[in-house]
Amino acid sequence: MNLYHSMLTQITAPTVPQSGAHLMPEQTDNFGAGLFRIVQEAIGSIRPDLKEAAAISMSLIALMMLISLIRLIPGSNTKLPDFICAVGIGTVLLQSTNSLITLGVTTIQDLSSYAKLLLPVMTSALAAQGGITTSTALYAGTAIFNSILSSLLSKLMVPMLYIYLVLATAHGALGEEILKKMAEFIKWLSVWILKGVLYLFTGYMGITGVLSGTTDAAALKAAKLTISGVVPVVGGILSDASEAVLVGAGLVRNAAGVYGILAMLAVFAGPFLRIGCHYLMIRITGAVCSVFGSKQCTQLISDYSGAMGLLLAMTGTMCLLGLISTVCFLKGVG
Amino acid sequence: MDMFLQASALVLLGLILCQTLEKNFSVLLCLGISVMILVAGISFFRPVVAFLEELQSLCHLRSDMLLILMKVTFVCIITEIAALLCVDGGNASLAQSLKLLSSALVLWLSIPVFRALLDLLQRILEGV
Repeated sequence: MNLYHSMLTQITAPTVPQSGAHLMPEQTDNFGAGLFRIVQEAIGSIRPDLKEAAAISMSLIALMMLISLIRLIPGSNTKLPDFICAVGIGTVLLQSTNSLITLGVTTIQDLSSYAKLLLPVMTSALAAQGGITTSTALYAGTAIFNSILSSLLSKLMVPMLYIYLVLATAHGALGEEILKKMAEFIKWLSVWILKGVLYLFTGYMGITGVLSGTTDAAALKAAKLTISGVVPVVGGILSDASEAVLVGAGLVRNAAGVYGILAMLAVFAGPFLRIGCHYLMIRITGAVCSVFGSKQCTQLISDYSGAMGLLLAMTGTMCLLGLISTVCFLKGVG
Repeated sequence: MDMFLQASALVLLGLILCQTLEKNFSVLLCLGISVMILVAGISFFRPVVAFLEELQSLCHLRSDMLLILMKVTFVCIITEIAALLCVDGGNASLAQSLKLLSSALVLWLSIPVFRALLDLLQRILEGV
């Protein structure tokens, strides 16, 4: 029993990565309080990003106003102002977009690495509680999906995002409908891939958790009945003691799981809010510019906000995968 | 506002005179009135250009971009007026030749903008 207890005390969640350390609450026993603290700190940290997004927004509005004034002059060539507008919008938005995409990729890699460290801990904790089949099945599925999604996002979807931006900028400059169609296709494909992976993953986790949990619950019940029936005199006491040990193992699993969830949210919250505030500001700017700007250039601004939206979806999907898998482990046996 | 009213009155007077004069003199009269109105319009364009420069510094657009835009706009305005004068004078072919020349000039002036677009697209693709 002492050996079992010492093994249980070694089952602790891995330390939160550096990128989320400043948001992680000190006390993680209360999930609600910890979550509130993370959100509060994350919102407080995005003030510089709000200022930067506001400055970008102002630059875009000034550029659209300039081009609109030029277009008002009778006899002025209508193609060249749109051309210059597209180049100007691309130049203004490129630097911030690049840094946000890099931030998104780093966040995805951090979440993936942390999940790879957390999963074995949760597997051990669930196995210690008696969910041997469940933990194995859940770990196998989560590890595979984690690797697939991480590779898909960094090797396929981020390059697709850049190609989308190129096509959108070219359409903004040249006005060719074929470029717009190609950009829309890439956006649709990206969303379809993300949705597909998430549906497959949640389906697998749901089915595996239900089936394996039922199997483990039946096995545990059978084991307790056997102990209380076979061992004379003290069989009942032994069966109750094993129940207490399993409850202890469950508490350890819950503590590790809650810490893991809070750590993942701490890594995810800051970048999500940073990308989110840029996304919202560019969207609002597009709506304002649609009043006096050309349709082509306003569409380009909307396309850049669409790219930010895709980036949000990618990081959100990675975080959701980690959270769902941890919750499935926390659900436990039965 | 006064200048606009005076210019409008001058144009109407010129129109009436053109009906009475010979074709050659009417073309010359139209040319003269157009030049006078353009020169008068410079005083209105100056504050607009100053405001455009202010917007250009606010949106961090390269100064050569705005200069290209202004040059192209100027070329287009001059071409349109000259082409219409040619048509009035009964020389549509001259008008067409002038439009062709102005298109070539606009393309030549736009080369730095094409280059800037290519550079931008290359910079975006470097992230891939």
